[in-house]
Amino acid sequence: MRDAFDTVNPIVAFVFFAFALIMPMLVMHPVLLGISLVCALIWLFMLRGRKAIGYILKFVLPIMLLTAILNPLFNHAGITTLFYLRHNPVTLESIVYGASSAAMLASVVLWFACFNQIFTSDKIVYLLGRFAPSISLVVSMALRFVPLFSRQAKRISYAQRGAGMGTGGGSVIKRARSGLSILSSLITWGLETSVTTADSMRARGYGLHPRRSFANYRFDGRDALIGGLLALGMLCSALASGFKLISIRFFPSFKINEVTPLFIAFCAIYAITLLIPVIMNSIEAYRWHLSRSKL
Amino acid sequence: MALVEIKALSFLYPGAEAAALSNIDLTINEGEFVLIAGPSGCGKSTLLRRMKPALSAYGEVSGAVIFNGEPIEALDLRRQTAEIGFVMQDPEMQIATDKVWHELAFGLESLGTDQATMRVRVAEMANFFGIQKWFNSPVSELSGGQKQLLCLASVMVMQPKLLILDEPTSQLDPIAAADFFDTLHRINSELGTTIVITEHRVEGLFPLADKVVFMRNGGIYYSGSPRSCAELLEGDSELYSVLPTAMTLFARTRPESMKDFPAPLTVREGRQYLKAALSENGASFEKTAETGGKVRKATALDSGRKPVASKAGFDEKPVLSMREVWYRYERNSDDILKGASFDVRLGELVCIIGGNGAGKTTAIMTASGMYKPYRGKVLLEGKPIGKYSDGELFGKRVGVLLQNPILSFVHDSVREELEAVVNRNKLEPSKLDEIVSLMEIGSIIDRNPYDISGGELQRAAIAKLLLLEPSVLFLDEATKGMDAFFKEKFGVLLRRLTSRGTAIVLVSHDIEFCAEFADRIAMFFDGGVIADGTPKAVLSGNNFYTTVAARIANGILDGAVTASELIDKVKAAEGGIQIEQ
Repeated sequence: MRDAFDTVNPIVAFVFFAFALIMPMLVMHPVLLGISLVCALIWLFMLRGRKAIGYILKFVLPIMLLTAILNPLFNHAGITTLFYLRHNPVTLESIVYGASSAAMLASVVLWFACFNQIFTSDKIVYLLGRFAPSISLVVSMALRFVPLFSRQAKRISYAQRGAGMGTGGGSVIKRARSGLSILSSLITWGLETSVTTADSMRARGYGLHPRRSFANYRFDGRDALIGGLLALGMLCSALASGFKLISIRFFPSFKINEVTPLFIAFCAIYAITLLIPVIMNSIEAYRWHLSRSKL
Repeated sequence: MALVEIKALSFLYPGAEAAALSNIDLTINEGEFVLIAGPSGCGKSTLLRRMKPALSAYGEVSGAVIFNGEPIEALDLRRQTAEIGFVMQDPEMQIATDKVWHELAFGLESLGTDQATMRVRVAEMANFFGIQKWFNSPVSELSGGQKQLLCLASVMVMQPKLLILDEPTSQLDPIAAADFFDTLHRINSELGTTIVITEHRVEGLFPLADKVVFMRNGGIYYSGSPRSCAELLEGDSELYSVLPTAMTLFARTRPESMKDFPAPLTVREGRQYLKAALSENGASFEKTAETGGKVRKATALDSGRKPVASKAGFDEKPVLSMREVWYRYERNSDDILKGASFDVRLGELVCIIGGNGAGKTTAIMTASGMYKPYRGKVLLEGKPIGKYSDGELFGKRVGVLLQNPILSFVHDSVREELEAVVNRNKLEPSKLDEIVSLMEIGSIIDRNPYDISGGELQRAAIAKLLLLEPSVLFLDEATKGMDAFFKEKFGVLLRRLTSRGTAIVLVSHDIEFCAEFADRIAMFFDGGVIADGTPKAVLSGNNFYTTVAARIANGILDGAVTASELIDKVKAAEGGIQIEQ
C-alpha cells in the first residue's frame, strides 16, 4: 500500500523528519523519548509491515541493548550507587542515562528507517532543486551514472572473457592485472561517452543562467495544513524547552520536573505532531473503508 | 520560406588535409522533411553540426549558414537551445538524468522557464509521445527505443523550429526504428516542425521525406524529391545500395515502355510497379506467377547469385549443439530460453533473427558457455560445454563478441590490443599480420579504438578473437549501425572466415543482411527456435518478418528473398516473356 505521507510535499516532509530526528537528540526526557519511539514504531509497521520486525530484531534491539548495558559499565558518575562490579560502582543515574540513550538512538534509527522509505531520489532532487538547482542536477546525474557504470563493468568483463582474456583463473596477480585493465577500459569508456552526454546537455542549453528546477511536487492545501500543524508542534516544543518544562538532569543526581497538567498537555501535542503520518494513514484507510461500504 | 540557407559552405578540421565539407549549397524550407544520406564519413554529421553552433566543431569555415534570415553564429545559446533541437545516435549516452520526468524537463530547466509553463509543456510532450505510463520511471528501466523517444521528446518540449537528427535509429531494432519514424512523421505533419535527418536505414524514411540529399566526400551530389532521384542516379551502382528496395528494383528493371511510371517508394508501390512491369510485356501477371513461377524457381537456383558455400561442403556432425536448453536469470524470474535447440556446423554462417526479448542474445550466451542453463545441454565437439575450463573454452574454442565491440578494447590502440593477446598466449608474431590482412584492418591498426568507425571496430574486435582461432564465433548484433557499404564488406569477410572452416553464429535484426549471407537462419520467438533452415526456406514463406524484397515479391514472383535475386528474376521474367512473344 502507498503511504499517505508519501504524497506530502517534500519540503514539509523534510521539516517533519528534521523535527522527529532532532528532538530526541536535544531533549533526552524519558517520557518524550518513549513517545517518539512508539510513534516511529507504529509508522514503521505501517510502512514496512512484517518486514519491520526483522529489521527491529536484527538492527534496532542490539543497538539498544548494547548502549543500555555498556553505559553503566563504563560510566560511573552519579551519586546513587546500587552495587559494585569488580570494584567499580554501578550507579542508578548511569543506568537511567544508558536506558535513555538507548531509547534516543533507537528512535533516531527508526525515524531514519521511515525517512528511507519516504525520501526517494526524486524528493531529494526536488528539495535540492529548490535551493541549489545545479547540485540537484549533479545528484540526479550521479544517480543515473553509478548504475550505468556498474552494468558496463559487467559487460566489459563478459567481453574480455569471451575473447579468452577473462579475469577468472590464473594467479592473484594475473587476476588483479586483468581487473585493472577492465577498470581502465571502464574509465576510458566513461570519458569518451561523456563527450556525448556533454554535447546533448549543451544542445539543451546547459550552462544558461538562471537554471530553474522542474517541480515534480506541488504545495497544496493539505501541505499547508500539515505544515501548520507541524509549525505549531515545533513552536510548542520551543516554548516548552524555553520554560524548562521538559528539562532533565542525569548527573550527579537524576532530576526531572514534576508531572503537571501543562507537561501532559505538551506530551499530547508532541505525540500528535509525531503521529501526523499515522493519523493521515488512518484517516485515509477509514475513508476508503467508508467509500467501499457505500458501494 | 527558407528556414535554413546554406551558401557555399566549406569546412576543414584543424590539421586535416581534405575538406570535411566542400562548397555545400542547400536550402531547407519551413516545414520540410529532409533526408541526408551517404556513406559513413561523407560529412553528414559535420554538416548537421554546422546547423547547431553549440555543437559545431572548430576549424576553418567559409561560406554561410543562414537561420531564419540571420547568420547562425548570431544566435546566442538561449535562442539556439529553444529553436534548434538536436538528437544524436546513442540514446544511452544522451540521457543525463536518472528519471524520465527530469530528462523531459531538462531543456526547460536550462532555459529557466517558469514553473507553470514548464508543467504544461512537459505534460503536453508526455502526451504527444505517449510517455505518461513511464513518466515517473527511472531511465534505466526503459528499452532502447523508449530511450531514444525520450531523447526526442526532451528536445521537443522546447518547441524548436528546426529538429536535427543524426542517425537516431542506428542503435535501435527495426520495430523500434519504425516507431521512431512514425513519431517523426507526426511531429512533421501535426506540429509542422522542420526536420533534417541523416540515416543509413532509408527504407522507412524515403516515403516521409520531401527532399533527399545525397552526399559523397564532403559534397552534395544530388538534392531533390525522393521520387525523382531514381532517374538522376541511374547507372550509379554505389547508390543502389542506399536506395529503398522498391526503388532499386525500379531503377534496375524498368522496361523502356514504362518511362513515365512514378518511382515506387514503399512495399505497396513496389508491388504495384512489379505487377505493372510484368504485365507490360504482354502476359498477365497471374499467368507468369503460375506458369512461369516454377520455371524461374529452377533457373534461380542454377544461375542466381548464391554466395554461400555449397551445402555438401559442411561437416554433417555439428561442432556445437544446443539441446532443449532452458535458462532464466534468477530463480524466480521468467524463463528466457524455453527449450531452445539448434546446431552449428564448421564452416557455416548461422544467423539468429527474432524480435526483442525473444531470447537471441541469451541463446548465444548460453551456447557459448557464458551462462549455465538449468535444464538441457550444450555439447561442444561432443562434450558438455560445462566440462571445459574457462581457459580451454574461451578464445581457443569459442569466441564471443558482445553487442558493443568497443567493450572488447582495453588498450589504447588496436595493435596493442592484438599484441596483448599474442603475448599472453605466446603466439607467433606472424599470426598477427596474417589476421590483420585477413580482416583488412591494416589501415586502422595504430588508431585508438574510439577513433574508428563502427564497421572497422567490429572487424578489429573480430580480429582479436581470431588470433586464437576459435572454432565457433558468436557475434551479437554485429551489423548494428553499419552503412550499406561496410555491411557488404563485412558480409564478404564473414564468408571468408567460414570458408576457412570457422563456424559463425550471428545475432542480427538485419534481415536483408541475413538473407544475403547466411547459410542458415534460425528464427527465435518466445525463447525457442520456431523456424530453422536456409534463408529462402525461412524467409520466403513469411509475410511480415522477412526482407523487403520478399514482401514486394510475395504472391507475384515467389521465391525471391534478396533484392538482387528479385531483380534477376524480374529481368529473367521480362526476358523470358519477350522471347515467348
